[in-house]
Amino acid sequence: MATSNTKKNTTLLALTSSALMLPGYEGALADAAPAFAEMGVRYSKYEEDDSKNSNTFGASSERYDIDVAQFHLLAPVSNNWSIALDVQWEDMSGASPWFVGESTPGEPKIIMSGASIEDTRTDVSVTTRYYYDRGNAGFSYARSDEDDYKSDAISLDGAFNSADGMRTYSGALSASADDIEPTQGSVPTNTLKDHKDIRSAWIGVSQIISKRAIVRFGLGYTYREGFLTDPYKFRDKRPDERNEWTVSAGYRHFFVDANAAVHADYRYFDDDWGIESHTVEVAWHQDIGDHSRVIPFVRYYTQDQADFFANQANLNDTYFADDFRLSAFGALSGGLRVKHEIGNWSVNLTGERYESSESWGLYNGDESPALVDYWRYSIGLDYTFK
Amino acid sequence: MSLRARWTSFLLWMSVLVSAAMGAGPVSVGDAAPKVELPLLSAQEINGDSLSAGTSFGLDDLRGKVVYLDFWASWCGPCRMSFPRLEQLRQELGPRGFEVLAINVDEFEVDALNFLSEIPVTYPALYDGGGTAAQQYGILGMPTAYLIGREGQVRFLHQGFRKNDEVQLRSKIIKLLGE
Amino acid sequence: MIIVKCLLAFALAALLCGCETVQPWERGTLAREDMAWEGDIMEGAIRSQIHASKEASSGGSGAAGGGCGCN
Repeated sequence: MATSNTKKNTTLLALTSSALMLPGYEGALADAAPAFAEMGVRYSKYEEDDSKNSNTFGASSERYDIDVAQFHLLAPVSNNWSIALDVQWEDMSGASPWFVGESTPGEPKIIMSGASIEDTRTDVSVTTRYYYDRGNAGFSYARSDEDDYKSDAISLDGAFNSADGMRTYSGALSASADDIEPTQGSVPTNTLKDHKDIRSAWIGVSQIISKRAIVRFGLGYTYREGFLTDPYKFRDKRPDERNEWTVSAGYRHFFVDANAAVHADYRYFDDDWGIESHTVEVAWHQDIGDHSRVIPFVRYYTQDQADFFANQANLNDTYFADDFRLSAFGALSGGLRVKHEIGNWSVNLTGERYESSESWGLYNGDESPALVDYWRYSIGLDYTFK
Repeated sequence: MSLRARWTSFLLWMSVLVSAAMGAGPVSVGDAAPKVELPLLSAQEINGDSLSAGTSFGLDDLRGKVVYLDFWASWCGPCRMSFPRLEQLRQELGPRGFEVLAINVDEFEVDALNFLSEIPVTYPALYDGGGTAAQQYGILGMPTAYLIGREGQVRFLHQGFRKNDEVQLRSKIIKLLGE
Repeated sequence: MIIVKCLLAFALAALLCGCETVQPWERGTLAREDMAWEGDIMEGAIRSQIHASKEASSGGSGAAGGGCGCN
């Protein structure tokens, strides 16, 4: 069902729970609760390209279509506290590859189960944050619910400024407990009911470089344990433990003459399943007049394949996955965001295109015929209670 | 001594002399409020005079009054909230000898002017783009305000601005007005 | 891995830079919304979620991750 293709947002929690902002943003000596409450809604459409005829047994198949609605509310509660509520509804429909087979040796193709998926998921998270003179601390609870999957997660995070305010230290811890109960029906599943636990930690340092630039570095670690196999993919069997590390860097620079800011971010990822990846993202935030902004953005991603990835199962393998997500590939995506302010309202529009291919990656591997390309569109409305 | 050592020792002496001249350390309660004289951001009617934008104005022009010296920036959230409330206090207690003197520390003057056109006030606002007054007073963030008594001494320090801060400010100002 | 070592060396250099202190009143540019680390929260959330569900990597953007609905 849905779980083979969708991940509960690991960073929804991250983004709502951590205010990794530098001191002085509210102007006051103290790290203060936001001056005004804010609210926003978004509607997004995610559409995967149909799998190609050449990659699929039988005719080319449609893949996933997802409609997403998001709601966000952040409000100060007294001078030292704030509360945030984030809700996300997802409506998924379409088809997902069941497994990969070879009709001709060396020519792997996707086999679809023929089943059509229709699933909805609801994510809710609540964050409460405390502000004091040199920093802030937050606590979050998040719940994710869909037919075959439930998740409960909590997270704790904090930020602390140096005495001169030039540097901010931050850290976060989170834990989640997930229950899987795959929908029975069109395909036999790899389990009837199972569980997994995830623990995660992050530390970061952010430094003011000049009046116009800031830099940030972060280190992350995640431990997953339990049923990590994809329940809907034929013969999929993965280890019941996974250790992951990330090292990341970010840079922001404002160009006064151009009235624009450049954002650059890099992430290195490594785990004990043999997967290594690099992600580079660059965005240009260009002000147009006093009320609009145009933001073109690009992203390059490359990953190595998991040790046990293969397009064809070998019966002697302990672990096996033909899931394209664990194959070696490179992905290029880019898009444009446009934002316009009218009084206390702000409207925005985004369009993004993502394409992936084994040949675009820095690592060699067997190209999975199931690699995805997609379009994503979003429209949003925000309001600040001034 | 090597050239580098000479240069370093020269700089160290210079900085000692400069800071001695400026008065060391941030201004705190009990200190005499350091002199402030800066250009007006916009035309001002004060003490019966009509002063044009750019005219030099400062604490000396408000001698004998209870002054709320407020350092602010257009990008400071709490400042947006404080301005209308300070304006109210000024309207109420002005006739008794109270004045607000706002010192703007924006890097770009146009940002300060835009802020004032959105949130107009009748009290004088001065431009400290170079940050000399800010440096002298040793402020650590905005808004930072110094409530100065009629005698010119800093009596209260107020950092940040929260909802209903004007209530306790009002009682402090009235106390100082009565002296 | 070479990249990680370079990153850590660069991090150390940047942090020990002895950057000339930027005074609190000089931080107007840094206070701009387009100079924030996280930017638009909902946009960041949906992109992270899509990437984490279509790729093998996740996290790295701040704070720790939560539950993952995929395997």
